[in-house]
Amino acid sequence: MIPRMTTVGTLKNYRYDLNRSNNTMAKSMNKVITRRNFNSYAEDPAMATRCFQLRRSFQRTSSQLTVNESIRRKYDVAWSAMENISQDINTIAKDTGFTSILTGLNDPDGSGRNALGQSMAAKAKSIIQTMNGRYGENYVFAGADHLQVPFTWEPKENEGYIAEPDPKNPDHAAAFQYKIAPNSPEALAGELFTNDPAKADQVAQVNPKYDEAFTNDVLNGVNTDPDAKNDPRFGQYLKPDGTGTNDVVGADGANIIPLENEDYDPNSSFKYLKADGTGTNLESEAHSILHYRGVPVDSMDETDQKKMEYFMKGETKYLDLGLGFKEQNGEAVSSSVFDAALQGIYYLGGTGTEKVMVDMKNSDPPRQVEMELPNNIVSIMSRMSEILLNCRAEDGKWASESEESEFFALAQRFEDQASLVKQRWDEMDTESGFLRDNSELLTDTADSLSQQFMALEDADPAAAITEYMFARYCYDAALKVGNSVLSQSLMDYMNL
Amino acid sequence: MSIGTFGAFTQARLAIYAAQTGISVTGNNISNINTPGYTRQRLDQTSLYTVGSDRYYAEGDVRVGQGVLVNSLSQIRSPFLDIRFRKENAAVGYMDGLLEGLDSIASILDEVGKGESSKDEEGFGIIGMELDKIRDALEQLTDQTGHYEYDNTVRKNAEALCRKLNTYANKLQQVYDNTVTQLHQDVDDINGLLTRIRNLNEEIRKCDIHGDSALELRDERNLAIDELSNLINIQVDYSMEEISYGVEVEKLTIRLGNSNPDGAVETDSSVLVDGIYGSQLILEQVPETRKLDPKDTSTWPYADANGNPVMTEAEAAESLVKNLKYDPNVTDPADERFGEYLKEDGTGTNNKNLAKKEPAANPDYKPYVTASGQPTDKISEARMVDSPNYNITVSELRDKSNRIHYVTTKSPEVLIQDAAEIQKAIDALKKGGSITENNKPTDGDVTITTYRASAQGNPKWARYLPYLDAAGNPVGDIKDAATDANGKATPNPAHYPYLVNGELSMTKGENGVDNPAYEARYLVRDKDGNITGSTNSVADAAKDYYKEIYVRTASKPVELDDNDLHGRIQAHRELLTEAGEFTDTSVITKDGQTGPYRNADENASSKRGIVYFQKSLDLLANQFANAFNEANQGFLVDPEGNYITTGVNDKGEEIGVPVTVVGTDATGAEVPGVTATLGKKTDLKDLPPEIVRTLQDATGLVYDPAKGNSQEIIDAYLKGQKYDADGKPTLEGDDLKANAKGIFRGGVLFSNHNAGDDPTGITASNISISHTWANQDLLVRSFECPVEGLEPASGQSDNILHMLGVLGQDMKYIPNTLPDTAGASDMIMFEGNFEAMWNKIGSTLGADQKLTGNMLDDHYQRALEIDTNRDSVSAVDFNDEAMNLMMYAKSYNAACRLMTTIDSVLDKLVNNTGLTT
Repeated sequence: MIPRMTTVGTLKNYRYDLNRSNNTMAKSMNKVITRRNFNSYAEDPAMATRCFQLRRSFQRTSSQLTVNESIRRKYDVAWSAMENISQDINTIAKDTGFTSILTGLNDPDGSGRNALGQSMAAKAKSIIQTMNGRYGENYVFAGADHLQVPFTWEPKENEGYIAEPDPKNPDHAAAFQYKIAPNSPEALAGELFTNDPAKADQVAQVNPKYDEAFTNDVLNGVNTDPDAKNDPRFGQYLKPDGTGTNDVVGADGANIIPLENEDYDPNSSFKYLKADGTGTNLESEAHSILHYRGVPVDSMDETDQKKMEYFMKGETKYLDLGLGFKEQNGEAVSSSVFDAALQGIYYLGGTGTEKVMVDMKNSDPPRQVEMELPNNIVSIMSRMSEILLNCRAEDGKWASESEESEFFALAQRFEDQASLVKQRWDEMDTESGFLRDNSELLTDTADSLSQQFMALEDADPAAAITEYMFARYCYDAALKVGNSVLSQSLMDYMNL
Repeated sequence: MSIGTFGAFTQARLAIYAAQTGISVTGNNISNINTPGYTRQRLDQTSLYTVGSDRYYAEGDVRVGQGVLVNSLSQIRSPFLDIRFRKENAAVGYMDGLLEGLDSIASILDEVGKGESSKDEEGFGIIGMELDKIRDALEQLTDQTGHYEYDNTVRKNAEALCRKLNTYANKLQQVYDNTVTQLHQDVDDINGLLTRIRNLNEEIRKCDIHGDSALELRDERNLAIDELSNLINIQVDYSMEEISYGVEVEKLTIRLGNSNPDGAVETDSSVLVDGIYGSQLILEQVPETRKLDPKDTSTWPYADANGNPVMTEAEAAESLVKNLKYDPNVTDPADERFGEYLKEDGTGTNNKNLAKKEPAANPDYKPYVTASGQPTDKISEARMVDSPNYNITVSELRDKSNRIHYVTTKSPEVLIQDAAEIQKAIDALKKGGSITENNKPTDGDVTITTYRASAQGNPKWARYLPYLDAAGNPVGDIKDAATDANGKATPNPAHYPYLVNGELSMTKGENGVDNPAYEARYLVRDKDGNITGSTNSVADAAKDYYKEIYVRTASKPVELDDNDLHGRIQAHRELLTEAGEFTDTSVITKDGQTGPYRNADENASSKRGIVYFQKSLDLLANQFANAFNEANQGFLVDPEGNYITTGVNDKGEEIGVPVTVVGTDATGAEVPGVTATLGKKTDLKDLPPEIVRTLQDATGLVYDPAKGNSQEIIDAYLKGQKYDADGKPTLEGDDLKANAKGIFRGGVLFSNHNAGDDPTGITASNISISHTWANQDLLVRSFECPVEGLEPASGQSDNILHMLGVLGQDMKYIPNTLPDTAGASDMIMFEGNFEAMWNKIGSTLGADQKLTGNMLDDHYQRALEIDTNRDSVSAVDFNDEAMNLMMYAKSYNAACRLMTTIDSVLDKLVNNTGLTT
């Protein structure tokens, strides 16, 4: 049986179909306007999720690229610094004066050696200034401590310096010239030492050349020489006139002097030490020692070595540069991150000293002595400059045979460590190259991701417009149909 | 019989009348073509034919019909299509309501195509973008560590994320609140429709009684039922109701549509309308309760042995359940007033050992909230609010005058045999013979017991059995009787009341005497019940008593199961209650439980409403905050991973040295040579017992390898905290600092309020950056110090990198980890990083939307198809009506012509017949 199509039913169906047609057209129109294939999760949950994942990857890659660029530029700065340093080192190595000394062909006069020493000192300072360079606001070669200047010239501290001497403290003995007089009010108050001779214990002045046998022979008449008593070997003590005596007291007795403190060190009142080992309280006069992040670079102290070991091998500054960063037990897996900590000390040849057997110059027979030579190229240059500056100004003669020998050993070490510095510069070059490649890779990845999600999200304009036009055509047709859906019925043909 | 002379006029008149009525009906159909719910009407007409036979037979008498009769108007409807449409309409209502809710949620959570106005951020979403910005800020911070502006960028982005999460949570709450309003509106709409249908039923019933078909009222009722079917799944039945003997009218019954998938549940067929009685839906109201607040003892339900408030039942002391009806003067154990305490079986006792035990209650417990928001312990003062599961009850059926609906059931009459019952019957019969009692006053059930007494029949009464057969048994037919030698039938002596001259006789006559063997109709008994004779007098006879019980059961409210409803109202309920994996499983997974599931949906794990999305967002916020709070707190370590404390070197300078623990013996004395340093990888199981003892004594905690609380003890030791026997910390402030063994760094980055640093109970609606972080730089860049150092290097950023790791790390999202979802599943609902979780929320919602949208489309199309089919039966069509117009118009014309013809014929007969020219 044919279903009875009623006017009401037809209208109801038409209304629904027209609405659907309008809805389809609205969707197509929305696609054209927004240029997107979908505008909600509901339209395509799987595709929307995929696009968000791609967008997140894109964002992550973009962040990594930003950091990579920053690090790459830091490495560029570091690389340039190393280039400068290499040039400085080369300048020294090729310096005519320097080569002349080494070859012995044209030994310069004193002014030449002194000048070379000054030049070398200046280059050493220059290298350190370069190594203290910054990229942005961060020190490039400070490892993971980039807010602190890495290399500093610190005055050589006097380890025996006693800031506030305490006469009661046995550990402060070096600060006092005399020992306190027993039973004096000060001694009773617990003081052990004094710098006031009046308060010191008074003792007979000891004859430093005292010869007991000689003295006994004179006193026993075995030695009958009348001037024997004027001999410096005579007498346990010294009299005020400088001759000897065994009598402590009496008119011809020994000279009574304050008891000297054998532990007394005149340098103990100085904070710093000069190059010649004497004390001073002026930083400017003090011998400059190179420090890296607060640790003397040439120190062989166990703790200092441990600290340096940590700086060079233990400390890291890992960054996520898109190498698949992941963690294990809460710590970054090293192969998945990039270590951006540039330890300046590493690039200057290292830390501490090395014991080397050095041939003594002009020694007959030839002999070798053990010397401690620094590993750090700046320390080598500093020491060489010191030796050169110690040369006699008039004729350039070496201050000592030992210094001459040390200089030649240092010159050899300079060459070795210059080569090492170059080698480490090359290492940096490799890392810079990696950063450049990584930058390109990240850029490509970001572009690829961007294209991927755009391909999924962005509507093809031609398809979208065609779809819209077709939907529009359908809707128009539906409207036309609507115009005639009720236009004809039997009512219109009735003629009663 | 032949038609009378003018009978033909009547025939024409009836035809004209029928055609005219037909035109009216057609006109009415055309007029109402646009009236919603209008069912096309049809004129029912029959041929008028007089039934009967003539008094005298006449050959050749042809019976002709006498015209047409208009009997009635009827509607053309298909009940089957109505049923199908209403079922489908409920599904449309359900899907439409659900999709409407999901769309509202999606307007908040769906970030596809959204993003900030700047080109670079367009399409990256909002929350997703904020997570990205935090990650980007952390990435930059790993490079530019130590520069405050980069820390500040992380903080500002975190703050923005918190605000966006707060906004989203607030908007979701608005959707929730709006849906609550919609649910109330649904209930009001349903109740309005139920009342309307009930009232229409009454009107239609009246019309039925008076013979009016009440078609327009039926249309109105059908329209209301259609409307109701969108809100709630219903089943509509029509039956005939006897209103008096032999008179029946149609009765309409509407039940819930058996929607519950649990076949054992019957409440899903509860009656909503039964003829002139109708019910109402009631949203269950419960007293508003206060949440357990660790800072407010008046919210703690229990008390310990000292009477101090405690939070959990486990901490509570036991108390004996007191008998509230206790009367010390009562000594009868059966009396409910006996005994100061109650036993398990509910009876009283004075023996404390037998008394039932319950957790001691906090006397100051105030679990409710008054209308003015004040705490109270009186339920009568509490503000009433919707039940948490938005439970619905179907009220009892009442008519327009608020009279309750009764169903009367009659049990078969039974013979009373119990002596006490017989006495009751005798007493009742003296007072009219029936007792009416209200069995359950609260329910309004009425029981009417009707008694009847009947004279006890005498089994030997032989009214119709005058003979004995050969075996001596009474028989009625003489042919069966035994005969004597003379062929005379043997009489039954019990049959004859008299003896006349020794012969059995039916009549006494003059010489007759009573026959002692005669048995009368009824038995006579003495007071002990012994048979003493028989009698024909009913009054003298012994009696049998019978009773017949009528029970008038009042209609009762029905508490609906969670899944009893369908349609739009259930969609709104499910939006408010369905929490998916966050559902309290204890409500629905009890062993052997088969329902009813009044307070949760047994299929809840696969259904997701607003609550699910709220909880998902809460879980994301909570997990995010916890992960970052944890990452930003710890103790400084040296390069080897040992926890450090402040020491002094040879120069008197402060340096970092490892935390060293010296072992102790049972007396607390130090054991020389037994020492250990504590590090990040230290596990107490690897340490000597002397060391473990030192750590336990210092912290008050007990090491339990099974619990794996090694790190907890080490943390407590480093922090310097000591816990009491109840596990509560005993030190705080400067005392805690003074006792610290390690160097603590960091603090809480996210808290539950921006005015404090409380990291507990963080949700999307309250997540904030902590007060401390808001006011100072709190991000810990690293916990690792250089050799002998007391601070990490200025650019060290391993902890920032770790935070990046946390952002990208796959987390396990477990529903029961939120503060108020302790009863939820402990299964992992999702594993992924924060961004993946955020995408998961969106895609889950999108998939639900898509599925619901498709199903709505499907159901809607089907409903439309069925409705079109209904229209094909019931709707008005112009072509049909045009045909009818033409048909009735032609009929009218023909009838008029008939009348003219008859007139002409009669005119010939009357005026022109017999005239001769």
